[in-house]
Amino acid sequence: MTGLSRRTFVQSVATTVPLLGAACSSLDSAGAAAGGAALDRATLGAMAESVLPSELQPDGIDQTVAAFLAWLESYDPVAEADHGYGTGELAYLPADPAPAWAAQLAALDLEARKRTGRAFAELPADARRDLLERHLVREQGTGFPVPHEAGHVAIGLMAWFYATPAATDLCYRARIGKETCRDLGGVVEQPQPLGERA
Amino acid sequence: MARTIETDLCIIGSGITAAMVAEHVAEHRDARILVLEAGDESVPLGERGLRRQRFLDYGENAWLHDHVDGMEVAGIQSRTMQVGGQAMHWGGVTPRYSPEDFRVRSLYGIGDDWPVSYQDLDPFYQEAEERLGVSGAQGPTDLDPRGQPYPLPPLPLSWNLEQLKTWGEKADIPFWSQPSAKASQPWRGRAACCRSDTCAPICPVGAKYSPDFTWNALRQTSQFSLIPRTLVRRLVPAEGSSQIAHAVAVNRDSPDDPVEIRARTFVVACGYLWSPYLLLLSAGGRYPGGIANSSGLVGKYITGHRNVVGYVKLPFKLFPGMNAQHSLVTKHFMRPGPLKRYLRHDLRIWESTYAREPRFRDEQGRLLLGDATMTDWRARTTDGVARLRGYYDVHPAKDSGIVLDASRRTPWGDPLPRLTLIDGDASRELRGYSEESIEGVFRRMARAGGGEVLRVRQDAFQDHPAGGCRMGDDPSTSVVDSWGRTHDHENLFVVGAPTCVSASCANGTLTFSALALRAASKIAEAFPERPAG
Repeated sequence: MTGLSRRTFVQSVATTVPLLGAACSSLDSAGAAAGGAALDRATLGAMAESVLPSELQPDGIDQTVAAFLAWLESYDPVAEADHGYGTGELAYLPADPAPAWAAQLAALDLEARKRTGRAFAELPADARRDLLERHLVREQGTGFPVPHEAGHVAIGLMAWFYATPAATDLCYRARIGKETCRDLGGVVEQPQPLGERA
Repeated sequence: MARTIETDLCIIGSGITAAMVAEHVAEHRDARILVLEAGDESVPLGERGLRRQRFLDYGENAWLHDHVDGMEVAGIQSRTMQVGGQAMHWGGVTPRYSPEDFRVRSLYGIGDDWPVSYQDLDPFYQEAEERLGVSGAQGPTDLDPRGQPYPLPPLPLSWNLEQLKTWGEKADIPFWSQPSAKASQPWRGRAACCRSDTCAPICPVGAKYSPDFTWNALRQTSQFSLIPRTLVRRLVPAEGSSQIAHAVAVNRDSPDDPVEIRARTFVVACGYLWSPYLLLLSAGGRYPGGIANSSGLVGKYITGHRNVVGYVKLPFKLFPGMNAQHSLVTKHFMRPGPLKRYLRHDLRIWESTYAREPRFRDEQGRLLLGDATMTDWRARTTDGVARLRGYYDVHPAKDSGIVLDASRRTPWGDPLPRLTLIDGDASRELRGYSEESIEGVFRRMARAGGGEVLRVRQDAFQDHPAGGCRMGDDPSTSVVDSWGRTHDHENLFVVGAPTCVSASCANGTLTFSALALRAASKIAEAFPERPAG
């Protein structure tokens, strides 16, 4: 990993999972947990290797995929959305993206098998990426949508990852820790650089 | 048959101004206090960490059930109706208005003067800052006059804001830490700020003031009660008297059994929209135009402030996310001295990620996957971006406000309000000049400090609306006096935002709270002092 302690990143992503777990337990009690289709872990993991930065290393990519799946599992379709200033409208979240995303992963894998006779997860990195790019050609825009509104699972995974505090720290190679509860004491100092290679 | 509740002081609404009145009166007077709230209880403090996380993860509403179905208003800016009101998910920003706001007609020939001065309000500003736990930095005294120091030390400037302060002051504009009702150290049972970056909509630790802190404390006392899910639909005057005899409410859990509340004093604390709405809805008998409406001005002169937002590319790097909702502020343009053409505005600076967000496709349309995404993001974050925003005041036309719209009804059959904001002639003529001038300030700052204005925009709405029951000394041109007492009904007060004559060019909540506390000092006079000890 360049300019990043893999341990730091893994710890950072791992802190997200218990929070999601807590959210899960609350939703379960309300009977509102998403019950969407399961995403194929092997295909998703192979796709993650193609779309996430390699400096995460395999451990970090695995952690990211696990946290992404936990996030998706806790998605509550049509929950009331935040309504802020400037509008009197109430808005609701969209449908569970999991079925469409699961179908896209299945399509990736099926197309890989038809083209090469091998599963998507078994393709060399270049071939995986070429196939994936063909599937993403219709994705519009430049910036990431909010993850659950992503049209394709690859964009959803990337959007989810790049919204994490860990991704921001990785980009800036600094311990900013956005959206994490921190005391005020350290706020006056320039954020410390991330550690060197673990 | 109606269920009857008797009390001494009935406060309608449970937002921040209601909390100020209740707390002040409860501390000083021996009176039974009843608060009625149409909405539900708000999310308890212990659950806010989880609600915040779901807001971050999914964009869910952090405040479950914070609205009442069917209470929909064309033109309204927020649907929030819950215990604590909009101050449950406010940003916690608490500037004072400036002395000029109260004398704009005398000084600049625009709008109307208030019947109170900044000096009159100063002790109540101070009291509000104490009750809300405001952390603030004293600005230059000529720009930021105040009688006493802030109760809490300022929120420290982040490293980012320190860089931005140096940058902004190259344009000879002084900036300082935005005063905020976020505790910089533990304060009256509240935790210190943990810079969660989610002050609005939800503070996970209770460092930001919200009215539930006041309500929870008052609920420990025998003289106080708060009833949620109870919507007041009418104020009813006494026979042969101008006094308000009782309020009629509907409990949402038993809508067929009306509730009648009898009190010595009634306080309407429902914000700029629902306060005049209730007075208009109470029309009938001797008051065909509505309660407290002999002037015909209930629901009129509602206004806010518009904004101009600029994003400026900086000649140095920032690390966005250090305390993202905290900002710098200046009152340099709120106290401009003599003017050839009227323009007063505030100015704030935040760190920003504008045009610095990660992306999956570049300008040439190439997909950015794997390492390319991060490489592209890093290349675009070698310099920083500042977000600048100036609020400028809007002086309204008389008919700027609400009317009852009989074509749209609440679930209980009452007409809903329709809100239409209309600029007064002077403000309409000044709008283009105001927005161009503020944009000019952004460009001046970019020239002085280095940088480039990337984008300028204006929001379509007016922020922090106020008015609708404006205060004044003349009953023919105002609804309430300077203490919030209605001219027409001795035992009926309106407090907070609706009583404002104008909405200044800065966030209004502290001023609404100070006005409510000034009203509370008068409301309290009707009740005996608390026994010593």
